[in-house]
Amino acid sequence: MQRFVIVKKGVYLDSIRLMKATEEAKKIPKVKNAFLSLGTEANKKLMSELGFLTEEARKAGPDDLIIAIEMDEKGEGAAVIREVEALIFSSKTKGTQEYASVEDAILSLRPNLAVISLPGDQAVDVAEDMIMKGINVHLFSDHVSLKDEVRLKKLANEKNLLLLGPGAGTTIIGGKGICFANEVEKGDIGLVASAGTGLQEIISILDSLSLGVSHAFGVGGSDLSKEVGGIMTKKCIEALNSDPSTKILCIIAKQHSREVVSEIASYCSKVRKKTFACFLGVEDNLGLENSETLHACAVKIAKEKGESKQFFSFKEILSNAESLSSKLQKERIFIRGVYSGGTLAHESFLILSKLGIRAYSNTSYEKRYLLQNPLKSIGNSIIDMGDEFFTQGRAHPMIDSTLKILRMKNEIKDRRVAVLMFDVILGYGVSDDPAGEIADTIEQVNGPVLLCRLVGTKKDRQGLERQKKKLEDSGIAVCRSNAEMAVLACLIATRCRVERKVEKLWVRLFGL
Amino acid sequence: MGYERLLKEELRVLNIGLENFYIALVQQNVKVVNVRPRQRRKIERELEEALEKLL
Repeated sequence: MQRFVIVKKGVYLDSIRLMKATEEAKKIPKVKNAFLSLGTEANKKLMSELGFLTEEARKAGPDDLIIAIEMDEKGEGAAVIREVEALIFSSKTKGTQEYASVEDAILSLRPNLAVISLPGDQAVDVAEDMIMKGINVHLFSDHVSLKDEVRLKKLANEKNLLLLGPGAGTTIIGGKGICFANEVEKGDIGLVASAGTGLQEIISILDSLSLGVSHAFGVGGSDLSKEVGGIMTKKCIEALNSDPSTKILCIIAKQHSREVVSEIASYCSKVRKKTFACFLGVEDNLGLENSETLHACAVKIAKEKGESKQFFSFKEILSNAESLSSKLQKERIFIRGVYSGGTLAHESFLILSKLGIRAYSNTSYEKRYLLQNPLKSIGNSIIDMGDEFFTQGRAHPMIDSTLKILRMKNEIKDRRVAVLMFDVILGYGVSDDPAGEIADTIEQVNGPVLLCRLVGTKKDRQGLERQKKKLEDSGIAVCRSNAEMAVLACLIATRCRVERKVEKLWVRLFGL
Repeated sequence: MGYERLLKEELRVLNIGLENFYIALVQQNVKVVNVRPRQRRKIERELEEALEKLL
């Protein structure tokens, strides 16, 4: 193994461009690892963890570009460095239609949707400007205050526009995905979600049942809070109710106020179309076929559509758990989850709780189960790496998985861990090889069982089957839904002691 | 323009921020233009400072 670290003084490039070039550099033959960054203190700390922090790199400043490459012994360093430099300086998208001014861009296209992913404090003004100009908004940015969210949503509502977000990860309009989105078959199911990866998860499960989507709206995680009152959830339900291509409605929520959920349920009773829901954490039906997991919700929709395919039986999941836990050492008893998707993390947290396994989380709504230090797991822990704590000053883990992979490696090192659950999300907006990034770097010998929920559709550009094979070839068990992964993790960690609870809750967990 | 037209008309997107999302729309043959935010360098600095506090 040989390492090359080169510092280019006074060469400044933005972090997204460098991250993309890093991913491309890793694909060069004989390159084992790459890290292209500016010499900020934070980046130097990461370089230190990756073994790249040479004396020269240590002296680099925030205006200096650092090129760090790890290669096979046989690779020729100079040629590879030239190739990497070419990647860095030519990474601008071919044929980009780029404008320095919003006004010029609007004149050139007359857009009907603005997608905003600026840092929160700047995003608010830009979003307001778009609404005032009569343009619908998909606001990906987080770090927007509830007060601003309420103000923007009221303004959009007055103007009969959509303000999706803040923190809206996914929207699909007529099959076209905004931000993180899967390639879907056209269908007649319309979805509204205050849960980005929840939307991707249910769309992927529906896809595996050969069911397509008309439109899917991500309204942001706080839309069903008491303060916001579901303004945009209602607006999107109204939109889908009047859309002729939508026959079935589905509403998904992660974080919500019970009062607002009841109000939405009552609002849905006026809808002319069959409506399903998955309000995570709500166990009653609310008069609209509410499910406790996304898996159960998808299966109920499939039944409504006359599709009764069963993913797996209780016996099959039990047999898998017995087989996967057979070689685990006795002291390995804890479950750890490292997620990019907040909804999936929350769903797992709830499933563990239903099965009598208490877990800590960095996003728990119950203070006593909130991890005091999100950087360090204790006991059973579920970590949402997309939480604002981790994304402040850093791209979301679905764009840059560096921190997520480091966290996974740390969890694997813990000798008390029986199972490590994680998600890999395919589709638009994420890297070309999300499974490969993990499969190529995670090593576990005599370690915990590794379970992955691969969220993706058959038409996703990365190739669902190819991605699955990469994970399986690395000894990772790939699950058919997040609910299956969480249940399997509980069975493995307890050596099937929760078998009866799983059997008793089977219909609530899996809908069949 | 109301939201109804968004579902009926061809999608035309103004992307302000991450180039990743612009590329994703181009890959889907969506009509899209990209706005490169002003003060990008200043934003990058602020983001890096925030990350330094976390690590």
